[in-house]
Amino acid sequence: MKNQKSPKQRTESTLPPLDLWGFLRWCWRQLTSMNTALLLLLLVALAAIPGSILPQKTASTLKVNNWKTDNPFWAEIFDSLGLFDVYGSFWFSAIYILLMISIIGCVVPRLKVYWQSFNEQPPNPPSVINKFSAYQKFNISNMNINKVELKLKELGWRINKKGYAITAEKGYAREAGNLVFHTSLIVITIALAFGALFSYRGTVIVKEGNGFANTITQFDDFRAGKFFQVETMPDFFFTLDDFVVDFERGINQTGAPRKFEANIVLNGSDDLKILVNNPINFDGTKVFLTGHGYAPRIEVRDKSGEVIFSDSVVFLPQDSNFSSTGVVKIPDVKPQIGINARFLPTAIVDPVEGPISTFPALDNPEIFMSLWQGDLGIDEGVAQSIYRLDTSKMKEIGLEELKPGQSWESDLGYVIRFIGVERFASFQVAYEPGRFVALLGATLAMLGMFFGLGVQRRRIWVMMHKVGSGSSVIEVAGLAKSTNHEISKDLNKVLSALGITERNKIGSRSI
Amino acid sequence: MSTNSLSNLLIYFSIFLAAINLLLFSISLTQSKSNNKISNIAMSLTWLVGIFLAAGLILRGVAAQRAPWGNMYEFAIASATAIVFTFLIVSLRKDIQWLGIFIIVPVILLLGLAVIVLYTESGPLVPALKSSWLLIHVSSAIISYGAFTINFALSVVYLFRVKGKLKSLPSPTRIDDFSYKLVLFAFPIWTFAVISGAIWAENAWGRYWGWDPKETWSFITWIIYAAYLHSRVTVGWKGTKSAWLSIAGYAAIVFNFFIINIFITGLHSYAGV
Repeated sequence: MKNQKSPKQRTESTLPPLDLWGFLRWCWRQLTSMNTALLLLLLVALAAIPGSILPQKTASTLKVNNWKTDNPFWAEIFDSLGLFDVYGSFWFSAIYILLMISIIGCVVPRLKVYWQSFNEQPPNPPSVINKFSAYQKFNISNMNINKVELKLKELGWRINKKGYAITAEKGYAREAGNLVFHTSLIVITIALAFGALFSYRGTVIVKEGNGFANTITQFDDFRAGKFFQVETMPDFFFTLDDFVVDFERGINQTGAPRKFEANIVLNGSDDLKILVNNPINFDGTKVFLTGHGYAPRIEVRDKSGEVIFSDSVVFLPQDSNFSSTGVVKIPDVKPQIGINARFLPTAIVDPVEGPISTFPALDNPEIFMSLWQGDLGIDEGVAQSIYRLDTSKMKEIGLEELKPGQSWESDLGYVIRFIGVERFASFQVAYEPGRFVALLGATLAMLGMFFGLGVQRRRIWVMMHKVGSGSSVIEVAGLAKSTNHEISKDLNKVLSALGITERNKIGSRSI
Repeated sequence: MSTNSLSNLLIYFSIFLAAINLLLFSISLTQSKSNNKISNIAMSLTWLVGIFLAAGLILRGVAAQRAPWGNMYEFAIASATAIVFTFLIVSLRKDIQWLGIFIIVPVILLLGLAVIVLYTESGPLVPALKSSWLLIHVSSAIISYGAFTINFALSVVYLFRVKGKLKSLPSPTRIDDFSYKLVLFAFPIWTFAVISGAIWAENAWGRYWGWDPKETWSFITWIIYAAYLHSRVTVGWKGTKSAWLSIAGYAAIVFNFFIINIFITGLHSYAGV
């Protein structure tokens, strides 16, 4: 942000002095120089790239693990470099912290200079002004320098009058805007850091008719910041009454979702709807609808006809037509049994691909299941996914295809019934405490940017000489500190406010 | 004829007109005077291209009863419209007919890609896009993309110009100055697009910044243009290096639109390619 002054100064400052204090000052000056700030900016941009191409743990641990399995050679190296968690890695943090320090080191001294400039007058007017931009000379009557001063003040110029000459300055809002903008960036960064330390978020799958209470144990997946405290989680619970979906049936974009709607009862009394862009808010904790799928209801009876399993089972969607896979594990029988199943909401049997779903709605629901017997492997105490059946110690008993209401009597005498299809919805529960501070920072940054980029700092001069009784010559000229400002517009405004027109002009010179 | 096919017809017609325009602008470039008769005709034709594009876009909106930027096809058409109109509006105040060819080339490329690769018939939105933020967030992205495209064209011309080529065009200083003004216009709007996107994300996904690939590349774009603005007041960066920065910024925009949308899955992957 600092302008490099002159080439001479630069070469001097690139040689580090020998004593420690001097060396530290040299480091500081290097860090806060505009060149370094620019390099740091480009480094941040560069460092952000890998996180957009490689899967990130913060988005999906599953995808990271899949990537690692597919690329075993790179997995270890990339992991140690933090490439699966780029935005939490030490090197990414290092770059943006350096950038923040560079910004602070630039803003603080400029703040001081800006503060001082309020008590300072613009510099004294020079004796000759015809070398500056848009120089013009007029012959006028009935004008005195005090009247000019008054008009300039009315127009918002800051003035230094010396005799019959005036320096006027405008555009201080530019620097104010720049300072506000850069300070806001620091505010946003702090808000982000604060949010990361105190926030929590979790995902949960809720079947129709079931409920959820906001405690950690109820989540399928839960993440919280370092300083998060359990007591800060607000107490609420809800039940999912039903979940309404609608898909496009026209030829164009067939199967695209058109409506998702979760009808819930909050805390046993309030009927509410959660839509995709419409979360519910409970004491700052928001509940978002993030996904949905099918939960076929399956019943299993043993040889004696006793029900050993009866529940709706969450099937995870695998594609946009909701071919879904799910698993039933029954550990209480000896030997244990398990079911691996594939659910197709609109099933057809494709000659090449076999059974597939051609539409996401329940037009022709079918389950293809295989029954397995043996050791489920869940007694060993190792955490196991509820969505995967480990068949390494099991053998397949049989295969069957069922429509809702149909039963299948397997070889072992187990009777499996596909009762019907229910739905589930997945929710994200999130608490993001820094968000208002971040929004405030962003708003101030926008505001600062408008002034910092839109306003130009400029200076004009007005000079008067008496040439006769009641008649005098007035000279005006200006200087803009940035090239893209047309100073003549400012001068024209001042001239017309003073009632001076082109007719009075006796000379001009434009640069 | 349905509103949708009428819209298609208008888009096709504007591509046809733009192709003629390309020819006219190329011929006018060979003329000694920059403000010649052919380029005047081309400018009038550009207005026609703009009007047809805008009409086509509006009809898409009418057909679907929503803001006409709900998928990549519509976004591309809207961006092309923004490019043409930014150029036209500037041309009312400045003599920039010489820039015509550098505007019409990206417009034709974008429209061609839109109708050949990205086309999808107009339809209702997926639930994720049903929000009033669609209007605000996406339209600000489109407007800033329009101005950034022209800035990109100017930076390319600038680099040729400082090498002593394209001598009939204005001086490098003027081109550079003009190019800077476009970023001054586009950068705050792009900032607003990112901020409004963050607000929408907070409302839809429960976090305002999550480093989703699209978010990351918006951030990268923002950072590069911020660097561009700073480079203008830094000795050793102003001029050629600045121009390269603005080209890099545009590369990030193009990457974000095509590569991220089509090849990389993220939370923004619902756009109905």
